[in-house]
Amino acid sequence: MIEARRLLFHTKRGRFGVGVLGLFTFLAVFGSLLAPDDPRASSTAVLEGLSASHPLGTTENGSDVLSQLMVGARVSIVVGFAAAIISAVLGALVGLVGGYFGGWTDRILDAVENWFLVIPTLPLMVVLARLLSPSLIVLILVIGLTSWAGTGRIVRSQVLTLKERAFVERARALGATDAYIIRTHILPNTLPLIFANTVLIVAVAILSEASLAFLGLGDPNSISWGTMLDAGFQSGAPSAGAWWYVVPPGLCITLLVLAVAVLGYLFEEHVNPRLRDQR
Amino acid sequence: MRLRWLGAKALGALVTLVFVLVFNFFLFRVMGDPTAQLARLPRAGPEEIVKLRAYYGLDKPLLGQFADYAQDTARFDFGISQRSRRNVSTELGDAIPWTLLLIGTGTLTATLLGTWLGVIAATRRGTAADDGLLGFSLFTYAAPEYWIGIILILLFAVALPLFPAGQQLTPGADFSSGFAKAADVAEHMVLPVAALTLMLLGQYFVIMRSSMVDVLTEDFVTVKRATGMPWNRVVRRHAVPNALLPLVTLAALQFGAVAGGVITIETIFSWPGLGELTYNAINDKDFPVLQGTFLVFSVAVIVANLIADALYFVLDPRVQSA
Amino acid sequence: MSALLDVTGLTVRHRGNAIVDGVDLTLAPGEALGLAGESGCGKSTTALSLMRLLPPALVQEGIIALHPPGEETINIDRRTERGMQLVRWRHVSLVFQGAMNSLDPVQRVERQIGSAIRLHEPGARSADVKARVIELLGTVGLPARVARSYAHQLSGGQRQRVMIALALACRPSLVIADEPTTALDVVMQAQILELLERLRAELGLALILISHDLSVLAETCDRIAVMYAGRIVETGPVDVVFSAPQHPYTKRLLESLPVIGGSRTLAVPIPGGPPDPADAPSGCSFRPRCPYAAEACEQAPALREVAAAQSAACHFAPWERWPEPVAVAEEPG
Repeated sequence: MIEARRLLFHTKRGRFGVGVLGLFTFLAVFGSLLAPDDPRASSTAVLEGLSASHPLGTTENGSDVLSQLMVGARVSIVVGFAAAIISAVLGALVGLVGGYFGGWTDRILDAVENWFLVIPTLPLMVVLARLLSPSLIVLILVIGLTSWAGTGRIVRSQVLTLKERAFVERARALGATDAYIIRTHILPNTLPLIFANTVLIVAVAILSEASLAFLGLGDPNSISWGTMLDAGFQSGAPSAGAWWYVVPPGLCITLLVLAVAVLGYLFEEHVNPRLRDQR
Repeated sequence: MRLRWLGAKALGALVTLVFVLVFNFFLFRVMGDPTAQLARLPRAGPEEIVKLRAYYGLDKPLLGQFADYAQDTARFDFGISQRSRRNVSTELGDAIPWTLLLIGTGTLTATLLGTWLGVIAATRRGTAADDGLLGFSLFTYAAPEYWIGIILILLFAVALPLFPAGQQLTPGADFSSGFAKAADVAEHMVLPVAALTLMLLGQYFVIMRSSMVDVLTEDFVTVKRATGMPWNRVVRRHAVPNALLPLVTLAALQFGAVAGGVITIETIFSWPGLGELTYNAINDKDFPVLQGTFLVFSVAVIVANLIADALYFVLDPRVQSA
Repeated sequence: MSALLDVTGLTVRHRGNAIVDGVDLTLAPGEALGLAGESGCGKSTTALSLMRLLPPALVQEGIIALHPPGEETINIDRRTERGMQLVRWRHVSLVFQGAMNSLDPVQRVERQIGSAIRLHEPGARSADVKARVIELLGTVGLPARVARSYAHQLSGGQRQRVMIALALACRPSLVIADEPTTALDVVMQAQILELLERLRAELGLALILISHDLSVLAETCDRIAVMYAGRIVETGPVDVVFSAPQHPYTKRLLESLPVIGGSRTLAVPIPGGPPDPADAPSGCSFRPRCPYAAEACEQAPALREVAAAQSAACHFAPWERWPEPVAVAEEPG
């Protein structure tokens, strides 16, 4: 734990990750209260550049870009983390069950897992999201249900190694049930791995939500950075040179993903010290 | 012995393909009830719907429908686009070459650049150059590729009008020769290819760098240097070829990401490939087209993996004797 | 008869900490010198520095002079990298341990040996090079078909022989073998050592044999140098050092070897571990683990001649008989 605290707060990478993630989480919670204007309020100041009343300019409806930006953090954070949690739970379950029980269960689960790994993710997500009507829940489910295979594979290989270890055989010889072994021996040794991997899934989930929103499959009732990019692109902001509309949302996505990725790699190093020397 | 391994991989690919077909079919039938879509057609009264259902074979049991679907797919009949009323296969046929052009050029550039930068970073491990390159690759990984495309447009098509902001040909232009036409396409290709390259560059660079770092710690590198070989020849002729091997398979595994990037990048640049086709299909809820592009993307990734396996087979003598 | 190799004051530092500290070595032509010591004592680093093959993070200083018979003296420490490329393999070559990854996995054996030959004989004809490769393989007892093999197709013993053949490709006067038998079973160990012996006799090679296994060195070497914590603590003819060691570390090393036919007691290990170069103790580096440590040992002892052709770095050498351990050595933290 002490090592974790040191990595988080006393390294440049840790401070960057925690700082940026903290900022955006704060905005996710308080963004709508702190935004200077109603993000949906339209005005006649269409696609205007930076000004005193609109520090980041206006949209094609005359809405304040800064307000939209601040409010948009919520969707990225919520969808990113929720989808990652679903993905982690599903992946861990499949990996645990398949790895531990082996046999046909494992072969089938492994085949399903490999299939999900082969199929191109965005096209799959696009198809699923389009078939269902896009909403926040649908987004979370679609992303979560398509990203679990990576975690599943890592967990499975870890469980396979653990299964053969002496302390597991000993426990079994003493008459411990499968549930007991999984709970007390397998799970604690796998959780750090799952956690480290899930943080990286958060980054992927944030990018996925943004891509889906950009393609028009975002939640129509919320403003997110992805929908801003979609609206900006559709209204011709790039060709009109209205950079204030399209650059900030993408930059926020990039920074958030960077922060999460940096934290994810930090945890991976913490869990697997061998990786430290390979940087 | 050697070919059996490759044969097994090909068989695996075929099985995956079958699963894709099954999945594709059941997904669209089960989740998107075609009857509802048919009901969207103008002047579709109840009797019309019954007739249409019979016509499309929708009144058969599910397995029968799947048999029809499989047969149709084998004959490249993917139905009719609800938007353009043309055969989906025609739409796909028109779009695929443009996407191939984009992907081909993009992955080639990204591979060359990524390999070159990866070697530089690995041989200068720990220096400012290495840190800078790592930071740059992390940034391109985190940044959405369509956002990078937008920035490219802002910088090189609007602020500095060097390249066109979209499409593949200058609209309404008359081309004196095929060569002039190709040159026009090339000009339109620069920004989309740049966006795709930047998107992939980060991944290829990191993979090549870590592969090189591993290879450079191997004993045979020290032995080659000990025989009196100049260092850059050791790197070029012995380290790099060994480091490229994992890059081949890993790059193929990332091909799914290329499919995703193609959709968004083609949308940004109005590039008339599979990506833009998908985007329009999303907006129009054109399910036959959506089903068709999903199938093509899936097949492409499966084939890419198979090609990677074949390449590895050719390049790595250890695999050949396994 | 002048020495083949003259090493004076060889020091290798990593971030200012000495991994190899003031090593002096001499080697006569055709002589076999054994370099013994625990893992991490600096033996391999010494070997690599003789050929200037250290990674950039390690800085070496000291004089290394090679006197190939009938040729001009080569000042290895003063050569540029380009200059070293001419020296390496042509005059000094190296045999690594664990030859699993000592050969390029994607090239055939003949190409790799051939490449080494061509580096130093650029005008050689393909046919001549091919013939020489087969000849070299024959010298180490391998059939000609090994030439067309890849590394992974050969057994451990075969790979080690290929490494030896490779090391002989340019007819050097000195071969450095770093743990050449460690990864092999006892039978193959014996074969490889026998091979090295025969090659030495036939080709007049000088050999520096590095090993932590004293029995290996006892068989093959004329003289032995014992290293501890980057310093040489004892040198001398191998049978003399083994029968009458003059340094407590050497004595303990020998005692930790089980003796066939001796009493069936457990081998006695040396308590503690070698010092961290960044945190080296002052004075004699063996003091924390030495059962005979005394006040005088706070001064670092120099390597000095204590008997005919035998040198030791211990204040109390020469030891005529070994007393009972005076104090129990404190375990280094």
